[in-house]
Amino acid sequence: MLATVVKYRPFAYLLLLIVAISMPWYAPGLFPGISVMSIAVLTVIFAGAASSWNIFSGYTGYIALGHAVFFGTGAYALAIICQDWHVKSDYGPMMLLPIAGLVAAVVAVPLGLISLRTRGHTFVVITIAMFFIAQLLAYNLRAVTHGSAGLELPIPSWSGDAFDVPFYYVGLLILLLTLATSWWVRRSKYGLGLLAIRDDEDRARGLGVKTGSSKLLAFVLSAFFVGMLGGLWAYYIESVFPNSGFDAIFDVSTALMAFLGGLGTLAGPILGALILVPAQQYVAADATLTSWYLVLYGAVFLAVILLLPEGIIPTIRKRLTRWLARRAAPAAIAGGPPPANQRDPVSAATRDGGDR
Amino acid sequence: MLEVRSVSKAYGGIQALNVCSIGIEHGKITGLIGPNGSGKTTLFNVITGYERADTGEVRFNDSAITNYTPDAVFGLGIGRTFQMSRVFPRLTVVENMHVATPQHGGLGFFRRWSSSREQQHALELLEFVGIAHLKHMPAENLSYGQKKLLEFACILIAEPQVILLDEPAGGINPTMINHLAGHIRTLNQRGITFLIVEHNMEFVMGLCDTVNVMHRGETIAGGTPAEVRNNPAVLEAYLGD
Repeated sequence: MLATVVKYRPFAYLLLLIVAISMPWYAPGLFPGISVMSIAVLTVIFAGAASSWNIFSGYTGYIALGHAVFFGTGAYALAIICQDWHVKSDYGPMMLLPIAGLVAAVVAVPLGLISLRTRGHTFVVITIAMFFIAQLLAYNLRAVTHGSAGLELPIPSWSGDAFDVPFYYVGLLILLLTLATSWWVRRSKYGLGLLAIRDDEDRARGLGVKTGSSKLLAFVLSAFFVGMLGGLWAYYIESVFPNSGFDAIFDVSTALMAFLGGLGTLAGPILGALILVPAQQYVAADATLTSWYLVLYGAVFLAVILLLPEGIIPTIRKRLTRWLARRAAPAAIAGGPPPANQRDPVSAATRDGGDR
Repeated sequence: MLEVRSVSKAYGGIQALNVCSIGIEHGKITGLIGPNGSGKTTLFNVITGYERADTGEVRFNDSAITNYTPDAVFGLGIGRTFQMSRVFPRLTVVENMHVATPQHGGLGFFRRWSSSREQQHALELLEFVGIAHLKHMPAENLSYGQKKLLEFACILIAEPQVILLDEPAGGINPTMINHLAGHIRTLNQRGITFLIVEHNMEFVMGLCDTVNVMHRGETIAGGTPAEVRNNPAVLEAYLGD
């Protein structure tokens, strides 16, 4: 049974890819009356952001709540480049997205070197502090950012229904790149080291994992993709302001998407984005409810913590495995391994111990 | 081959190691005993880079490795286990094994986490310690004893020259202790040097070529198991004041 599931998995992925690629053909007809493709653009952007956030935070267990720094840096980088180089609209800015990503990655190096000296809650607080510093800089470095007046990006010539489509495909491409990177990391020796860092960093170091450079590389990688997506987003919105480019909601929502879908899994962050972004857009589309999506986010956060602490995908996987095991061998309970929830009380109580 | 020269280490007012010296000969099994709080684990931590020595020197194969980082010490061929076994709870048993496989420089970004040859080697080692049937189990589901065995196997995959074991027999049932002693002997015959901290005297005396005794951060005695057993200073350390 499990073998059957595994066997058909590639076909399922292919089907999903076809559904995603052919979206512009069927979606507007399927959901008349709402701007479904603009929701799709935001969904792929956030799915990509959550997925690249996961490459760092999901694998290493370092919860970063400041990735808006890289999103905003990418957005401003693209805006400034377009202004200074007089980049023509349409596909010109799209071509420059890797540069926006690179700028974000370069910014991530010193930030990573500083913040990764800390762990746990301290790390979370430092990333939040970095976010506020970045936002303040955007307000105050007026020569570069024009302060609260913001920057404008070139306006594409596409119009009507066709406007969203190029953004959707470029976003989807970056999402797939992120996903491929995430998958690559997960099966590499490097990724195993990241997971070991998540579980017990000192022990990993003692077994020869180069913890410092491993963490930094993951941090920079995820900043690169988030930076590209920030650039794409700014071009889509056609402008960037300090409080929209460096948005605290971005920090929280990418993390929330990954938590909801399943931290440290490949598909989890994307699933989270697929659920949350359309829901948020749906709520925000109603003029009387605009900011109520924040309440929605809060409610989802609570629900995840209380009901699905591991996220959707790991929970389903666990249930499925248990169900398959029960179906396959109802008589093989005796002599089998202990169930997952039955931990050894001794080792659980003394995990952090060790005398001097 | 591994030598600790006059190492001192203090935590605030507590002198955990007080001009402590110890030598480990190549190919031998050396035991390290002493009352609780005598500095055995601190000594391990200083050797393996988890703690910095205040003064003194650690030498390995005639070069100083004092205050090297844990990954550097491990890279030189010194592996250790912990008193409270430390495995990676959310990784499977097999994944745990591969964390320690050599990275050959770089971060391993372009390598799969296990080549088939390494996979084979990992399975052999799991067979060797007797937990191969649990290979796809998350390590957190293992029993206390099984975790110790996994931690032990994990060290072996990197093929270290010296293995430091911190209370390998603690909390393990007697049958498994005998198995463990057998494994250590087998590996020792293959040329691996051991330094073992242990409270189980039967285990230490039966297994070790030489035994060192620590008390209040110093080595107070050393010699063959028989010599140490009859040393009055040792008795006093355990029973006196």
